[in-house]
Amino acid sequence: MAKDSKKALIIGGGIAGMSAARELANNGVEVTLVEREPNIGGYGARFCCKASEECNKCSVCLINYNMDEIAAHPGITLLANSEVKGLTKSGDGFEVKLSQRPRFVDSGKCTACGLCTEKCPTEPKAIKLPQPQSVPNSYYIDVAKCLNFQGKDCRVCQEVCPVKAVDLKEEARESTLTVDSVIVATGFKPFDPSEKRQYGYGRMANVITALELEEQFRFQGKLTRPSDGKEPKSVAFIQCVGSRDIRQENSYCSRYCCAFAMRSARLIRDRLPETDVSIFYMDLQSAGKGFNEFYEKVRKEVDFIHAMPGNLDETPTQGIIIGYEDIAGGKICQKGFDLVVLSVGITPNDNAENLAETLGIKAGEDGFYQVISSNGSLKAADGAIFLAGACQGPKDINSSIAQGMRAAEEVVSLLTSKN
Amino acid sequence: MSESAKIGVFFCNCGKTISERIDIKKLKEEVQSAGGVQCIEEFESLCRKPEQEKLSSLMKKEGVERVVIAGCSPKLYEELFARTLKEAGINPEFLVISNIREQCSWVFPEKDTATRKALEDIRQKVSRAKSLEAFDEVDVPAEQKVLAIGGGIAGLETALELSKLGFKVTLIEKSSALGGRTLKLNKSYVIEENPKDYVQAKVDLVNKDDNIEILTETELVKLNGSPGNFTAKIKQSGEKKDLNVGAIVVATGLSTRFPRESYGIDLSEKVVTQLQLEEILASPEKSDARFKGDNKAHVLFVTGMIGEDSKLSTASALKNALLLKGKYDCLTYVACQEMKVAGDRLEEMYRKAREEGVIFFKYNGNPPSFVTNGSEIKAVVSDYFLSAGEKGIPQVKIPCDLLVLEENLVPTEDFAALRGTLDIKLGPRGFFQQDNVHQVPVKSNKSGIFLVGSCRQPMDIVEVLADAGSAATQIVSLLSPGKIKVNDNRWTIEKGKCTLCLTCVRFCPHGAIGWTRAAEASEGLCQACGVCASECPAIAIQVKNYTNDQILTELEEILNK
Amino acid sequence: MEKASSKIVVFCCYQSAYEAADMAGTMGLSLPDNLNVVRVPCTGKVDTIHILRAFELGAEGVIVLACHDENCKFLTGNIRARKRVEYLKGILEEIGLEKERLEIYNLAPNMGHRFAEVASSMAENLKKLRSAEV
Ligand SMILES: Cc1cc2nc3c(=O)[nH]c(=O)nc-3n(C[C@H](O)[C@H](O)[C@H](O)COP(=O)(O)OP(=O)(O)OC[C@H]3O[C@@H](n4cnc5c(N)ncnc54)[C@H](O)[C@@H]3O)c2cc1C
Ligand SMILES: Cc1cc2nc3c(=O)[nH]c(=O)nc-3n(C[C@H](O)[C@H](O)[C@H](O)COP(=O)(O)OP(=O)(O)OC[C@H]3O[C@@H](n4cnc5c(N)ncnc54)[C@H](O)[C@@H]3O)c2cc1C
Ligand code: SF4
Ligand code: SF4
Ligand code: SF4
Ligand code: SF4
Repeated sequence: MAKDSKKALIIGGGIAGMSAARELANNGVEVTLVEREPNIGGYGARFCCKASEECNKCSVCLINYNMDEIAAHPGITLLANSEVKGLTKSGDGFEVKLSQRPRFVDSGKCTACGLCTEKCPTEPKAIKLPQPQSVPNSYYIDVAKCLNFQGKDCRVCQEVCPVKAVDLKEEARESTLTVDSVIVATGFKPFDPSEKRQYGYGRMANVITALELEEQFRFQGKLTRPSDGKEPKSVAFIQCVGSRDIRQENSYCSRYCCAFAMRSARLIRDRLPETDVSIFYMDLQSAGKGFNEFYEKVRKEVDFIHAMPGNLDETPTQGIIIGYEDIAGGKICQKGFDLVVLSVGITPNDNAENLAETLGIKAGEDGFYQVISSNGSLKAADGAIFLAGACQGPKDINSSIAQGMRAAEEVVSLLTSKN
Repeated sequence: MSESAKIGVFFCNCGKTISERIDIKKLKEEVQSAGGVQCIEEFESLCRKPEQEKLSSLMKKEGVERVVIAGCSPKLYEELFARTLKEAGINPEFLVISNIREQCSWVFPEKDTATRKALEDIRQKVSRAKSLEAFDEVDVPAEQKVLAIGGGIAGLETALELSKLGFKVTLIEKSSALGGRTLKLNKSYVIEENPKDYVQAKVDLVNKDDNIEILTETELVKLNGSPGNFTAKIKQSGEKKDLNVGAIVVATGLSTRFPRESYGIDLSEKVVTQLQLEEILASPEKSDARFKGDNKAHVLFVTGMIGEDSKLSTASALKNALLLKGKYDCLTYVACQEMKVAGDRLEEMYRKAREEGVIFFKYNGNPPSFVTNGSEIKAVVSDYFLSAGEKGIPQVKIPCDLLVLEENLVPTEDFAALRGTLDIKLGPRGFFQQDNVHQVPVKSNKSGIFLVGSCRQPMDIVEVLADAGSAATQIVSLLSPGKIKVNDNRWTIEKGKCTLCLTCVRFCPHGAIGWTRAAEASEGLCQACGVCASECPAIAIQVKNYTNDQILTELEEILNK
Repeated sequence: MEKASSKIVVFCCYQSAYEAADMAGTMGLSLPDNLNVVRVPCTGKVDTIHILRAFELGAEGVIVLACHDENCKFLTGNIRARKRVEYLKGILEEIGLEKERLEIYNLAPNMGHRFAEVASSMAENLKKLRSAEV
């Protein structure tokens, strides 16, 4: 690497951004990682391990390993709660305007002791860790819940914090930064299934999304029905919800969900051996190595139904009846389930267009950011701006990692050649 | 073991979260009265810079040699504290963390229990601290040179990127020309440029690049050494020569195999594999001769019958069906088990193909059969979605002027020999990478050997490029700036005890052990997992700081013996 | 001070189970108070002699917590550990100890709940064994 150190900005601290950050920093580039949320990790930090008695290769644990590495890496400056507000060319590089929303807890001081949460009078708590394994490992205040921000005179956390990390008067901070290169890794947003009324999401308590299943297993360690907290005796996955659907403008395959459903099915069968699992699908997509062998294993444990459900109904006990066409039998069928999981697709992130405008990059018809040439480079504009991860199109964790590393490599290569 | 070393135990109150739930005063007294600890101090929040500075100067002043920090999980600040020790001139191996926050104060609501558990853990860690041994990290020089095996797109791209990053590369190719399989493709579904021109451009760049040495008709025959310092013996037309390189890139691609047994029909003028069709279409003369004319040819693509799961065959069928339809107005059909559209552009191509009149059959477990009559071929195809209840699934007979059959994507013919030479582990179906997420994306089980492109699993060109980038950046961070840090003497093998049973050689997951008169490990390859030490029947191997004695000392302390 | 005979020794792989134990703590899940964690870099390092010695010194139970099969950072450490545990269960029976006193489980770092679950279930089982003895 160059003798005089080079600087890079990474926007988005999901798995793609983390992989890029680590590679750049390992190559001696000074990295600033800007994350909109109070903690990094992206969606993957909310997913569960899908091992049955063996690892089912969902790659979710890699997110933990990456978060640990980023937290400990001396070459990476992490700015959480932050966004990029402006970007202008300056020489070969850029001048970046950043804005950091107040967290009200100084993450450089907070020791994550948790005293504040204990004493916070609201329920649910207004001051908290973003999640149990959070990087930065610091608390923050959820303004919507905090009494102080509702005009009440509560300053309990500020008083109780032994290291004086809480500052209820903290204000947003603007700053500027010059960097040589930028990697955009802002990820995606899961499809909102309430747009598809026939699947009953939001209307029927026991229809949940894939993300909700992931979070139940990760944060509660088990799977239950939202309506009564009981373990489901039968679970159905419905695939391609908000994917491969021209009417919904999401005409692409989201690529993670077939493997997600199969791995989750194995997890459920392992934890709840009495529970039946069915998967409704259009075409099964491969993922990972030795997929067919994996499929053969899953097929022994799970009922694959080659049909897309027509509509869902609720029984008086809040079970879900799925109506579908049994194609081989040539008739309309119904099957009842305790819990239905919608494998929601990957869609462009909120505000993707605004950010594109700020950065001078382009989104394609489907809303994902586009590279400027089809020669395999991840360059997104004439200057040194590159893309990585699901902001460029649907992909799973492994592909996001590979792309993050590739983007880092393109940056290093560009910066080296300039010397 | 050092009983006389000066030990410091440092408590962190962590704000108050620990001190409110655990009786630190009592802990201090207990540790003091148990003896053997020379320096005890309490801190407010040790993870903060000013307090670390305080700690550092205290340790220096008191001449502390071993350090136990009782506070939050080592997962959080172990590396930070290791740096503090280093600054204070203490070997970071002499640090032990007693996790009295996550694993004590937050677990036990009663102060007494929490205090008791904390004390147990601190005692265990003090006994561990006493037993620790020092070893150092040393720098060994690293060759700024890489050997890339295989001259397909994967090898070419990795070589070019490494060259840009200032490395020298020797690229060896078994055949007489560079380019690999991509040269045979007529079109790529992911990149716009013609694949032949695309690789050719890369080949030209490689040829012009002074940092890259190209050796065709060359193979690797032997490999020794460790990251930074491999010695590779290569053979070019009978002549052998040694190369010193810092890292190895394996980019040998894959092979195809036509599984006649699955189809029950031979390849012929009218029955070709997908790759054969790619080659026909890549040549305008050959394809005009076959498809141009007034009689529209019937072309049927079949995928999904042979246990392949790659999207490449769906991709190839879609792109070529569209091409035959568009250019020659052929009647094109695709019979598949599954539309594998989880790749760039594939769903779009699938839609376009349907719009343009390509006919799709999804046979769902009832694969087509083929009837030959002289030179005529008919395929009998069923479609699940045309099922008519009791009447069963209707079957359609398609007369085929050309039948295009998916082939198996298999490891190259000589993968077994190469695996042996590299001494790495294989993954599913014999491809070059184990199925373990820790190796994502391009690592092998041996440090310094990287697996790039379709030799590790079938993939398209854009995915190959991502692999190449991943490998290049990892190699650069491994080998720059000219040296690699390795542990010095992390390991001991007692030569007198080793019976050369080679159990360790077989069980080491990282190929780190070799032997001469006794087993010998390579510090550069060893990842200190300790498997060898646990497996060795003669108890000849010990991994420092996880030796039997050390673990037993901890157990004895836990169990109050 | 409690007697050694009611202790459970937990060998925790630092790659996975150790972080899961932290997560259990951070979430405030309840754990038995006779658990003592020994951190190992990989369960491949947990030798038969360590486990046997723990019982010899009076441990009531031993749990080995490894990464999931095919997810070991060191590739096969967990599989070797399982082999040893299975072998040792046989030995335990031979010397007159119940094989339930020794267990191996697989964990990922994001499985705090699972850590609490297996620890508590070992404690429960030991309680049952204890009351059966009386
Ligand atoms: C329910 C569900 C389950 C899944 N399960 C699996 C699975 O088991 N295995 C698998 O391989 N894949 C799975 N996936 C896919 C996986 O989530 C993605 O591949 C992966 O998260 C993509 O990583 P990323 O870094 O590109 O994006 P993200 O994870 O979305 O991360 C993007 C980051 O950027 C931040 N950000 C966004 N906008 C801005 C901005 N303007 N400024 C600053 N920061 C910003 C976000 O806060 C976030 O932290 C699943 C997806 C879903 C929806
Ligand atoms: C039918 C078919 C259709 C395809 N269609 C597309 C498509 O439309 N779009 C797309 O992007 N991709 C497509 N692909 C995939 C594409 O061909 C591969 O992604 C690409 O060729 C992989 O490149 P590689 O460098 O990994 O391997 P290869 O191109 O196979 O190159 C490997 C090289 O290594 C050499 N080698 C092998 N063993 C040794 C050894 N022991 N020592 C030295 N050298 C050795 C070989 O001679 C060869 O030159 C298709 C593949 C197939 C089979
Ligand atoms: S199933 Fe997923 S999270 Fe669990 S160990 Fe395997 S890859 Fe990691
Ligand atoms: S009390 Fe202070 S130090 Fe403790 S968690 Fe709250 S903000 Fe952080
Ligand atoms: S991966 Fe499967 S479920 Fe997801 S969009 Fe693609 S086909 Fe549908
Ligand atoms: S500790 Fe032993 S088994 Fe593990 S990598 Fe080193 S040599 Fe191999």
